[in-house]
Amino acid sequence: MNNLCAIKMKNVNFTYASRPEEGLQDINLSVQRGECILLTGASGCGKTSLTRIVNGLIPHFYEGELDGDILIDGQDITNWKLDELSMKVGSVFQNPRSQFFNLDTTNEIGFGCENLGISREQIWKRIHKTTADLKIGRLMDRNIFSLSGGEKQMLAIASAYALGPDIFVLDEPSSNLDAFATNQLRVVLQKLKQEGKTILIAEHRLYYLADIADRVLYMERGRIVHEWSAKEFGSVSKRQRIDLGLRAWDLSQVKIEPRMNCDKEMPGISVERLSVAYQKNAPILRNISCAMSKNKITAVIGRNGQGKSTFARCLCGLTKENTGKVFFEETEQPYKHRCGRNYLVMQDPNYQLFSDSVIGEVELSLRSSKKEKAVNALEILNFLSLGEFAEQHPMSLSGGQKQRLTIAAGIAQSADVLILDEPTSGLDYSNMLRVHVLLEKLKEKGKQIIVITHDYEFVMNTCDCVIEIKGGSIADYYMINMEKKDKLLEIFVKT
Amino acid sequence: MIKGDVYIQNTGKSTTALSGVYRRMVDPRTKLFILLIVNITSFIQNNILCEIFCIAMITIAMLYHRSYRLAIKNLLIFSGMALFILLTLRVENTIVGMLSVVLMMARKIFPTFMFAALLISTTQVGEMTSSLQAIHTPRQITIPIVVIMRFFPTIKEESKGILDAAKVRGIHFTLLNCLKAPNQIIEYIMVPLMMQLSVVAEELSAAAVTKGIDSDKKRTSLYQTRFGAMDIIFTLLFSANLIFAFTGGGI
Repeated sequence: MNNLCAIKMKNVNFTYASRPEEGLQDINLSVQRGECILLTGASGCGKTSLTRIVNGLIPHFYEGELDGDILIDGQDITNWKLDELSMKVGSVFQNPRSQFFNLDTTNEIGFGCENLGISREQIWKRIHKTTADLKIGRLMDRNIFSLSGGEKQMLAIASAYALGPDIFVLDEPSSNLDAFATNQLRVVLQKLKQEGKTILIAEHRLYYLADIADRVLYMERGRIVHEWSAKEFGSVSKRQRIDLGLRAWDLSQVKIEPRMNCDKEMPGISVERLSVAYQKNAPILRNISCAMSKNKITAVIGRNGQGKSTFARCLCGLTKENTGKVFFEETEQPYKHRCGRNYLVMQDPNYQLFSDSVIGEVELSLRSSKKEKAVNALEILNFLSLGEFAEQHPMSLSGGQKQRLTIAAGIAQSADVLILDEPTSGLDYSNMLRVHVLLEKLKEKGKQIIVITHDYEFVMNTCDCVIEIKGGSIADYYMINMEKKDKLLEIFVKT
Repeated sequence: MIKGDVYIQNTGKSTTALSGVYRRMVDPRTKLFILLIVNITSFIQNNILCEIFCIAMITIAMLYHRSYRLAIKNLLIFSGMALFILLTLRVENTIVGMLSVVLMMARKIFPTFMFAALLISTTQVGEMTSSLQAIHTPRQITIPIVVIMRFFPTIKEESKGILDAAKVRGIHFTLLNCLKAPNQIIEYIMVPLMMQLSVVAEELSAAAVTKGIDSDKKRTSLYQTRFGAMDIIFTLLFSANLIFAFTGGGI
């Protein structure tokens, strides 16, 4: 048995019944026991589908036409019963909000074991072993909704681990995590690897896997088109990496991209002695004062739970300040006037779309007369290269297009300031560049841009200055330059 | 072991706070049964005494489960509604009239919602599953019930995001707007909410499938639940109220 591969695929083809354009073509892959394989490539390249074959969701859950030979642990996939496969292959998904069946953590870890009829004593033993092995005692007995994104992904790994699988399949586990949580994820993956588990991981963010992955596979249109050993991948030239649209492997190699130099500062949004508290709790933001220049793209960075999003919510008029003032172009902006003027582009654009057509979405926000509306709306759509989709339903757009559409709505309601929450989370390099171009364009149009981000590459590429929020106050505020680069790297990698 | 309580059994090494936790609660099955009774009661009753009795008992049940804040919140909402209806009985204004009709309907279903809130906030998904399994409920029934329980908090979470998003887009859900263009407001909440929930539902089922939810094996459970004296007392009290409602309060 020992010489058998953990996963073996021969001439595998798959077409989704619902989306015939997506799927897999001619996949040949063999993964040794204990090996860690990193799957990468643009969105829709088939990496998620490949993970779904290994955990059995294809063809049991996502139906379609599958052919070819697939062996998991030496046994043909058709001979595996799905519930037995779940004890062999553990799965972790991208979105932490939708992978827990229970509402508390302890039950969630035991959930798989309960389904498979393991005795109560055994389940408790496994829960304790899991929490000890993965060092997650602090997560026990908590409400799912009280966990941070990083903690949720730990829990997802733990609940798969409790079933004792030899193979772990992870689908973009870091896409909703901050830099700190990503490092925690790295530690847990390292631990799994030490235990000899086989790991198959689909990702855009690559750097945190540099010490873990043994091989890197690049996929395109459902095929595996490149294959490197981890060492070879380390020496792939920057040119080639960017041509393939891939993120950095080694963050310390990322350079500050040259940008249009505009030293002159223009007054934009500024805050004075701002404090925010939720109800009677201790204040989240304490006495913050800073002035952000209108013609600079400002990155707000810091660990989750330190006050970043509260800061953004306060600027957008979603959370009222207790004391302090907010100014725009040196005139005071009271709380009620901020909402809509300072426009928040949420991380998940799906929340922000209400209309049944793309153009309707923009018209909804325009305040001009009916006749002008259609013309103005189309003008804004063209500016964001969405003109050709005007009559489509917003939900038929891709993720990036939806993001642009929410921005279009912001422009339509003549917002002066755009605040973007994690605009590049889960994006590959090419899509990150698209966001970069978009923000530059908006800056030129005279909009002030503030970005909340965990993305080091994006900060290096696009942002002009950084506000570092720590423990509810501003730890540092500076322009991005060579001297500050190491400090930033430290924050993003070593926290 | 205290009867009527759930004793979380822990036979492994006690490394966490879990070891031997007592929680004062009624069995999930009893709660489901009482929910049904409350439902029928509030449907057939047309007697203020019966209604007050029902609300009072749910409040007691909440206090028994140590859900003090929930009890206070619900009592305040209920008295607010009752007061508004009482005060506006003689006002002849279309908007106020419309509002009181809406409130009258809300008052009718309020006890059911109140008890459902108690059920959801004090029952863990695992407890519900195991107690239903103990009476040999098939998976096809257990899982939908549990999924519904699981979905209420999700709806709450998702709604928060949608309300924020609407505010950013300049759509305000004030009372006046709701009365002026109710269909539009419903569209702005319901369309994104349904979109989000359908995505969550699909992803959630995929995750559950990889955890063996479809398995043919006999499901086990982390918890042992059993009936106790409080189950009987509460069931009898709520049933008495149901009979009271049936007889039209004419005892």
